[in-house]
Amino acid sequence: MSDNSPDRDDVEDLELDLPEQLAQQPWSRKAQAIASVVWPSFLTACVSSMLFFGLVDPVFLGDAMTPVIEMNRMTAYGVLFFFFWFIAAISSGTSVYLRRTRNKNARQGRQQGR
Amino acid sequence: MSDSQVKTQSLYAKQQKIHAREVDGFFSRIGKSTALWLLTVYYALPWITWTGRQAVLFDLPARKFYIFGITLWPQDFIYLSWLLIMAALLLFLVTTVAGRLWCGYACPQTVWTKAFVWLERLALGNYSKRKKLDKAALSRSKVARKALRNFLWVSFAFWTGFTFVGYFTPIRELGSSLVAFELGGWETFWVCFYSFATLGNAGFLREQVCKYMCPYARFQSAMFDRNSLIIAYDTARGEPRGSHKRKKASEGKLGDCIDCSICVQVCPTGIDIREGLQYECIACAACVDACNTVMDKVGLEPNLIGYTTQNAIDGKPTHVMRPRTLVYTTLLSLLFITFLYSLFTRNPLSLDVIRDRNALYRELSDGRIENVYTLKVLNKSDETHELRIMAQGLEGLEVETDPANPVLSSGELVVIAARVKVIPEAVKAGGHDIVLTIEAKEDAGMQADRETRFFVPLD
Repeated sequence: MSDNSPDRDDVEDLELDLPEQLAQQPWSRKAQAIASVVWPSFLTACVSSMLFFGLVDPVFLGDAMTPVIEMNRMTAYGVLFFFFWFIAAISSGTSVYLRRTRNKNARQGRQQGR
Repeated sequence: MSDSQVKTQSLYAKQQKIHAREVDGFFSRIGKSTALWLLTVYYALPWITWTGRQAVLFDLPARKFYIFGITLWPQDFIYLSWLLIMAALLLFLVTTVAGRLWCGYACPQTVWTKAFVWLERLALGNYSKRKKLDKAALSRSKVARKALRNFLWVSFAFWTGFTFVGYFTPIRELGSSLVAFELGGWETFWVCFYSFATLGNAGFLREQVCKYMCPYARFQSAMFDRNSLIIAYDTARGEPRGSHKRKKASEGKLGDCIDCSICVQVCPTGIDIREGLQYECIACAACVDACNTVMDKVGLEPNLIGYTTQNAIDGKPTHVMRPRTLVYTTLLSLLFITFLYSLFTRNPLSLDVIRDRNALYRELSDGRIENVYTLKVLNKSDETHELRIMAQGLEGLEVETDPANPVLSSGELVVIAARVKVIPEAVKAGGHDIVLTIEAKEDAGMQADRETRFFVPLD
């Protein structure tokens, strides 16, 4: 090849060591579990709050409860949003827990083609 | 304050932080200007006034949405769901045709991450300086620089949270109560909540959100086909990769990839695009720009890494029009046209009719039969209207209401008791369908009606 053939040495200030990105460790199982409980349940809570409060006025909700409580809309929105988040987190958490605590036989069964 | 911040940080600290090399080029400029434009819209929109009130305000305490000239009520909830369905379909269509354009350019996660990285660069310098600083021992200058970055991040996050709440509470009032330290409890809470979410997601988690938390990243592959736009490395042209000078022996046998690894250095998700399409790739096109710069410098053709399709890679023609895109486009246009039509012709009066639950009918002293209904009327227009109430469907129906002349101001909901009477000799016994109509007195075109049942006893 001639001397003016293309090469990476021609490119200024290029770090030639293997980028550290590739040596990166993935998230730990625990971190992944936390993320897959907290985040999907948060999204679910957003959607459910929107649907729920699109159809129901919390002021009437307070009147319909026994005992009747004085319902402030902002409080109702806030409290119910976290309630939905909590419920959805329990559901996601249970799913993650079930996945992580499967018994060994079940895993072997899958490896042997069920 | 620092509770959730510390939690987010420790979750992240389990692995090395990616400091992606900065890149300049055609696509990164498009990305930057798109992000700038979107951020400007986000921060400026709540401050715009339209006919005396905030142009875009989702007034949750009053349960009314203002979007420029349009006022939406809870009864118009269907429009919001409709809008969301259209947005989802549009995302499907764009993904099918153009791949993860959304992820690379328009997703809030990407846009705010770009902003936070830019702030970090202001405080700590470019990527190699940041890497060195991470490894450097604790020093006064390191602490000062990190403090500056944290100050920039927290301020920006707070401004973001404040603006977010400003979409739901009039932002000018919110601003003046903020300055006077008189923010309400919930307002303070949501401003802080959203600020922390922004700080955590865009400052600390960044593309980890796309890799570990985003459901769309996982299911978008279902929308891909061989004609979808992807970012790919041209294996046929690039391989075998290697430094041309060092492998003079293999002269002529080397591909165009000089294995400079810049495509990996610029990748914010830390993948090697040369290994093929991976779900971690958010299609930010940083590697395209970086590789093109290098190809230009070494005098080779650009687009060794570039936007392409699987068909193009295989040397087959790429079709934009195909059954999948045609179905999405048709559905989307139908939904959009009906949406606009129904939004702009929507009835400003809404009427609900509830039959009296206690008695099917009453016999009056003058021998007539009376059925009682409760009408719930909502005036969704911006004017006051005086109403006329009518009943049709049976001969000689008469209506008497309480209040006798209902007047509705803008946004008012009134409950009207309507007594509908008929002379029993004129009609057959049994149930009849009748229609109750309300009408604005000064504008007969503005009316709403509901069908209901009217009962006449046997004898």
